[in-house]
Amino acid sequence: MNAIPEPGQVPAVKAEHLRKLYPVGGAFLRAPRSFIHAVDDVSFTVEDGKSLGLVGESGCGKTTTAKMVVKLIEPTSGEIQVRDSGGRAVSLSDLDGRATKRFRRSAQMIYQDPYESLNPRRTVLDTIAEPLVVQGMGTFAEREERVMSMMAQVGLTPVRNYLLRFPHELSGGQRQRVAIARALILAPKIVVADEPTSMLDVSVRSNIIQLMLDMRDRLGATYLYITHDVAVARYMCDQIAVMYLGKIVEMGSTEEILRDPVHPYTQALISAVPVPDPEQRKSSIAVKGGVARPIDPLPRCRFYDRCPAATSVCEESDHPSLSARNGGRMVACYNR
Amino acid sequence: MTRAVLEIEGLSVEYATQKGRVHAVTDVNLELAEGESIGLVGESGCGKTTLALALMRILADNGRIVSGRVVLDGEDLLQLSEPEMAKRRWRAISMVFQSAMNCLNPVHRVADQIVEAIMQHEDVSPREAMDRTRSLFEVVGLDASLLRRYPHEYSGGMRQRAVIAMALACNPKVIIADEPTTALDVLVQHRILEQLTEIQSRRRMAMIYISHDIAVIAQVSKSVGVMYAGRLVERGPVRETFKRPIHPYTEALMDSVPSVGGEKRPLRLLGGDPPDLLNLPVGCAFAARCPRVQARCRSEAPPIVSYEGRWAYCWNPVNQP
Repeated sequence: MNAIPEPGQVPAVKAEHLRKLYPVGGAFLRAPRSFIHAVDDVSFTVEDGKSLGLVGESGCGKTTTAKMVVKLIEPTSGEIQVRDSGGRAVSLSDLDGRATKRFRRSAQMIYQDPYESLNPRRTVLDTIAEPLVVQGMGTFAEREERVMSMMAQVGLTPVRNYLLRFPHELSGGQRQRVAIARALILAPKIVVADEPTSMLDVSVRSNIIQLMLDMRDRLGATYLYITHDVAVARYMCDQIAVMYLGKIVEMGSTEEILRDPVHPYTQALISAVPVPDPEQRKSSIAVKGGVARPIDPLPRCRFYDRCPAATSVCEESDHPSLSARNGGRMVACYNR
Repeated sequence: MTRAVLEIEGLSVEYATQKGRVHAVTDVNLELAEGESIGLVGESGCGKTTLALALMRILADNGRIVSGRVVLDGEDLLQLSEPEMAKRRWRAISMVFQSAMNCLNPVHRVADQIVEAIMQHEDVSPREAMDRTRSLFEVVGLDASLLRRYPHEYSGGMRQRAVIAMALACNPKVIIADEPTTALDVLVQHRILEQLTEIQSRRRMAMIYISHDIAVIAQVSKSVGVMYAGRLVERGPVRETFKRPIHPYTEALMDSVPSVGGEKRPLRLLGGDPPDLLNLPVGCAFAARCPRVQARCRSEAPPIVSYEGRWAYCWNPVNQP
């Protein structure tokens, strides 16, 4: 185990005014005609050892945000600071090539689809050992030993039976266990999980959720958990940030947001989650239309078109900024 | 009023593979009345999709219906010749597939594909078929401007709506929906499920809705059937089945769903894997994973437990009358 730095005031991840624009249209030597505002002025902090859920529908910018946190893509503007092993805040944009590689040792990502995230020609052993090879850690025998101990921890047992299997010889749940083992083998400080359970069967899903919780307790990493399913977020995340068209519209403690959502979008999202118990069924909150693409959005509330509670101020003023409410809740809405 | 539209009796399906015969569906019995809907729930590989394909008689080449009857409106579909069966498909019984992109031809306009489907099955003029397509678009909540567009111009939700429209095109008596919303966002899923149930009850179609998510099934139908290792192991109304499941597998399935409302209870973990369908165990197929297992569960097939219009196959039920 690495030495644990002094618990200081520096959060594990701090994102400030993140923005990511993708150009559309345009041509060679000609400026793009417009921009997709994939992530638009997003700020959040995650304290060390905590987990933040980014919740929202497809196209809300949750994956883009997460990829910026692990430096897979660069923000158009804004800054991300992470805590280094000395407990100091380091800005990701300051990292050079070598420092980036070192940073990757402490920040890992788990992907949504275990059918696509694993190389079909590599055995389980090769797949899980790959990060160690890339980082030049240990001899072959040492790596094999570490892989086997990690496999035991993620429940790929008996280890000997799985070591030399290929992905096609594994079930979906087992594949996701391999992907999780690969992400955790470097004992990362930051783990970004992009809907790791959405492709799985319900019964397998609960096993993977439990595995992620166990591994979090054991390795004590900071988690950024991306999901469209608030019910899953409830089990995985201390805090959630609800995103809509590149903006965070509500942020706070998971339990409190689920109990008492304030933003109309959050309310709609929670009421749309299917509930098995017919007696718990709440009346659903209707939202109009579908998610638009955030191409050069108009200066008004992003949720205006679909909001059941919209008033003239929502159309006339720019998108509301997040403001603090009771109990540390942050909400971006003029009317609530 | 409660006349059965669809009766499935003792239906068994096998796949021939190099390793032997896979018993994908075993002795399934199910009755559906006009306008009734049932949700079929179970893990991957439990036979729910195979059952649907068998009802449509569109099994893969190595699949074979071993025994049973599928009676639709008094007529056994399994006895029909292939050309006769082709006439029933879409008109009498139709299906919404899981992956919408795979059922739409990318080089044809969506509306043209639906028009073609209608004209294949019914003797109508192109104009009539187009009119009907237009009203189907309205029914499933697609804008008329999308009629002349291609599948790639549709979002995932729109595609799924188009596929539902296609399944409704010939006004079938029975519609089978195989996880049509699994790939969609929650809000879109919610809307589509609402529309689908609304259409289903208005047209008085019988519907079989297949999903691995019991919560989704609770939203679309009043009754649920639980499948395990190719067998229908429990059937009953959603409400009672949720509150007092009979089969231990049903209970485990319910408890493994993360909940948004109410108390946050720990998730139930169901260990182990479903049995090998090449070699089904002698007794109850769930015995190896069952927390309530007894000696006879491993040696004798479980008996039916039935009360209050619901039933399950179990030696040691969770709840009894």
